[in-house]
Amino acid sequence: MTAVLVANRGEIAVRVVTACRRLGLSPVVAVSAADRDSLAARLADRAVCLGPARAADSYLRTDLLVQAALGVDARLLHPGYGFASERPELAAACAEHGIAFVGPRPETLRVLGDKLRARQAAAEAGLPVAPGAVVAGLSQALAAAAEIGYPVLVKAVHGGGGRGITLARDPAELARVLPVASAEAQAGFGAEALYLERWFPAARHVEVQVFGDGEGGVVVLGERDCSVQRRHQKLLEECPAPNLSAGTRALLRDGAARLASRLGYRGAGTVEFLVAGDGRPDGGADEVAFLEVNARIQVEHPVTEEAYGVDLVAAQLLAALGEPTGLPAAPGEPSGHVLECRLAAEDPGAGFRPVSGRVSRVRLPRGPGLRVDTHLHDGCVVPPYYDSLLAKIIVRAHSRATAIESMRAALAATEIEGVPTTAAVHQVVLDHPDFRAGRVTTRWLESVWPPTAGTDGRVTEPSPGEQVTGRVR
Amino acid sequence: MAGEQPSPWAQALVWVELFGEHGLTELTVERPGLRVALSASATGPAPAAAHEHGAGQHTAAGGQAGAAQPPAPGQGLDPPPAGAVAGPGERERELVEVTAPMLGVFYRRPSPQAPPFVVEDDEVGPDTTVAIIEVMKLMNAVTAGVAGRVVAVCVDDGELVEYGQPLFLLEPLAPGAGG
Repeated sequence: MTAVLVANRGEIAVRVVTACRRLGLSPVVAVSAADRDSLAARLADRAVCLGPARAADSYLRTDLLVQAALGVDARLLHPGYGFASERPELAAACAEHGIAFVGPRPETLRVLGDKLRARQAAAEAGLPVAPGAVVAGLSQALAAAAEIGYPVLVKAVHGGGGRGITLARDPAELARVLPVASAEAQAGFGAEALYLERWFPAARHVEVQVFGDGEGGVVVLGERDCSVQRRHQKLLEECPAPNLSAGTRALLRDGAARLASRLGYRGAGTVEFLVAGDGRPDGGADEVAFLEVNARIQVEHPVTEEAYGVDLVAAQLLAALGEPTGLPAAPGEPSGHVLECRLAAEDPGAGFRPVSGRVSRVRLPRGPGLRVDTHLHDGCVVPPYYDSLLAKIIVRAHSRATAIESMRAALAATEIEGVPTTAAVHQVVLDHPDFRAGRVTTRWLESVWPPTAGTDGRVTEPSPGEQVTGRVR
Repeated sequence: MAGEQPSPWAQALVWVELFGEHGLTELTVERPGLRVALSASATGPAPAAAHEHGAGQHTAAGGQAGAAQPPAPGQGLDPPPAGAVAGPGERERELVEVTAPMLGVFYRRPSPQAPPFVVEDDEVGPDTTVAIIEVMKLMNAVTAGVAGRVVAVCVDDGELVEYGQPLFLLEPLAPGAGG
């Protein structure tokens, strides 16, 4: 039986094991010492322990992952999301040792992992990119910012992970933050080159799901709206994105397909955009800016799976095996609406502080159009070392309004005892007229949570010089 | 599938063999998914002395008796008696495991032609290199960690080992003792 090394943990490891079973493949899960008893390890044919709990000593060690794949005779390595999933060196090491990496080629990962090269590739494919420029020194920065238009985001060119991003709203502020940003870029990333980019204070996050055959052929599976975020972390996603004009939808989908095609993109990927404005009555396109490509399966992939009736993870594995993916060549429009709420082990009353502990009891919702992706089981431990995601509740219904009602009921029927969760935030979001109208932007949640803050839906701007950190994935 | 770990039974049998070979009186081995408790007394593992009056009531004894024992978080088997069976002057031999510091390929010798770093009955110090674990062509030396005498080599040359997997069993040498 063909073995697949699952090089990840949590719910996505369970998800990959499930896809392996569907295809008759033998899943072997690579775990850290903290995850020996995880649900994925229990469901797999075998678990191999890479190293200690710390991700840097286990899940991030690409050498251990490849060694494990060789040791268990795996033909495929699925990297999941996060951790080492987009590391070109993992993809390259797999290729070198005859293991099929379930993801894009190493050279694709190199291009997309570099902000400037990714932006350049997007521009060459005809995608709208946010006005921006690489600058060295204050005079260049001021000249560039005048052209781009304020406010601007100041980023380290070689930065990553959302770190080292500062906002400047006028020339005086830019002059003030530039030397600091330069020094931070030098200290953090070894190069003081900075990049200025137009900041959209009120924009939606809309992303397009693509699946490439590696030779220029691309299937586009609609878009997802992921605007409900706190500190650049997605909380709730939906498909299709509400209130998008036909023009904007076409712009996003065609642009994503062109970019993936030009890259010769292989497997599942997501092209992320900011969309300013909320649907033009004339059906034309809103202002759109390319953000980045996530070159892997994403947390929110079930939204697309349920909307289109596909199995993206199985398609990834089949593509890596060189077999037909089972995806429709020309997917139609989804006939219903799908929502996903992420439940994380966090205290939403204390600034979303992650909490570790033991989940004493889990009761998951059931019913028509309901799916739960989770690694929880009674008595399982939420270790302090990793992401706080516990479960994803996914509902499908014939309309957006019905899906919202269905999700409210599903959340109410979900019981996770032992750790606090983000469920209460979701209930506030689902009940809010702004969300029900499908008109929220990426900074909207700050205006309604915590509930004591103003609930007028007003979008707040970061304070001058505020560090904008965190990363969407 | 190639590279499969030995079954729990096969692993347990290794411990039984070692137990006999070295004339041990008590041996408790714990690793993920497996706990083996062996005793040379005719009656088999029995509750600790404190519970002997409660004959037959072994079910609750495990956890309580365990308090006087080496760490035994599992409750699958009763822990062995606390050295009560051993004759006067015969100290219970507690063995120490040298475990793999990471996943990789286990090598007992620095090169295929060279003799092993250590063989059974060798005495080692805490810094003695006892094995190499290869991770993608990089050789990582494994040191004993404690002073002791090698009682058993648990893994064959060239096998995949996981993080935390026992590689050697050592009988610790008290500081200043031996020689």
